[in-house]
Amino acid sequence: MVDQQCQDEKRTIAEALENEHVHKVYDQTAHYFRNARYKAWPKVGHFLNSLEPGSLVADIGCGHGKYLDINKTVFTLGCDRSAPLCSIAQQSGHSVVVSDNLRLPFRDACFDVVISIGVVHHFTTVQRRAQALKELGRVLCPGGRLMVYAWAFEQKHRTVAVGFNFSKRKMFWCRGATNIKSRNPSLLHKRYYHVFREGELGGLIETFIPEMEILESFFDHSNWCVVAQKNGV
Amino acid sequence: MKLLTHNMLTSNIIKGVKNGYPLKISASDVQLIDVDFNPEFITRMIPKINWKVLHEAAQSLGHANDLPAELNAEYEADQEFLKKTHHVLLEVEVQEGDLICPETERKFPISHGIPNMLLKEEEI
Ligand SMILES: C[S@@+](CC[C@H](N)C(=O)[O-])C[C@H]1O[C@@H](n2cnc3c(N)ncnc32)[C@H](O)[C@@H]1O
Repeated sequence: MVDQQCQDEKRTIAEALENEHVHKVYDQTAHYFRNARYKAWPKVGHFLNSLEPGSLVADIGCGHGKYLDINKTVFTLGCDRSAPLCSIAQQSGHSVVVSDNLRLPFRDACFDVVISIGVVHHFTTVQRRAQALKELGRVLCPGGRLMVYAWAFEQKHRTVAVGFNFSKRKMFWCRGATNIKSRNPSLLHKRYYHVFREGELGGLIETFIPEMEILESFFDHSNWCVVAQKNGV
Repeated sequence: MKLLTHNMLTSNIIKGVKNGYPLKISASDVQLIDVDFNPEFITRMIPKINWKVLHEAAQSLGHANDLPAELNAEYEADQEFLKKTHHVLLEVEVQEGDLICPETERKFPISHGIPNMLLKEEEI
């Protein structure tokens, strides 16, 4: 009972935090992405271009949709919690659905490939990061492949928010990932990130989605990337 | 929203809902757009979709034309059939309307072609 109350309270805090420091921030900054041409990261582009023609792909947390039309021989469905970002992607001619990575409104095993680029680091607890990854695995068909990128602890530049102290109910910020005490109150839109240590992302996938086998892990663009495959044919 | 997208959507993310598939479509604005026909793409897509659900969705929007209700085993060689399938999967776009949960009748709005599947706190 007390445990349940604790869990509920933690969930409420986590939701409020993600609302304020993830969803609101993306909604408020979405217009910067209108007409923006951000370059696809080459390794993500290469992965998408290597897919079999006619593959069904889901880009969960697609943002303004920079990965939705890399490969014209597959169908890619974008999905994001931010309605303004979805609308920008849709205006570029993409198919998108506003939905939450924690509860994907797709039937089991319906996608050949799922990508999640820079999204799971926005969940504030390990349970929520695990739940987000589990959902990615659930919608993949047997033999289907998953590519996940998440912000790495082992990187030098950029100012990122790294954590939330649940007992003190305080967020702490840092410049770079090494000095967690320095704050930067001048930042207008503070986004919450969890920074992943080497092996952490793969470890979560192995623990929480046992039906996935890790094919590759590497460091790229200050992120850890894991490519994994769901068992079965 | 294309009918290909509709073919994958379910409302069983709502707390307590067991059967959220397929979602009913209530459309107030449907548009037809042109998409390049690629027979190989369509041939590969067919085994991944739920044919019955596609057929019923197309019918409910009045765009099934003479699309067969059952899949014919030799569809790969049938260009006419592949073209019709291409049309219902990719060219019919629901711009405005609702997706309706088959169990609870909960409506998910489709606005400017985008379905919104976010839940309220009490539905989680
Ligand atoms: C760093 S951006 C990455 C966007 C895109 N994948 C890219 O690489 O350009 C993170 C995205 O995750 C989305 N996001 C955050 N939390 C989410 C959630 N719970 N469900 C779905 N999307 C979410 C944000 O709205 C934002 O578009």
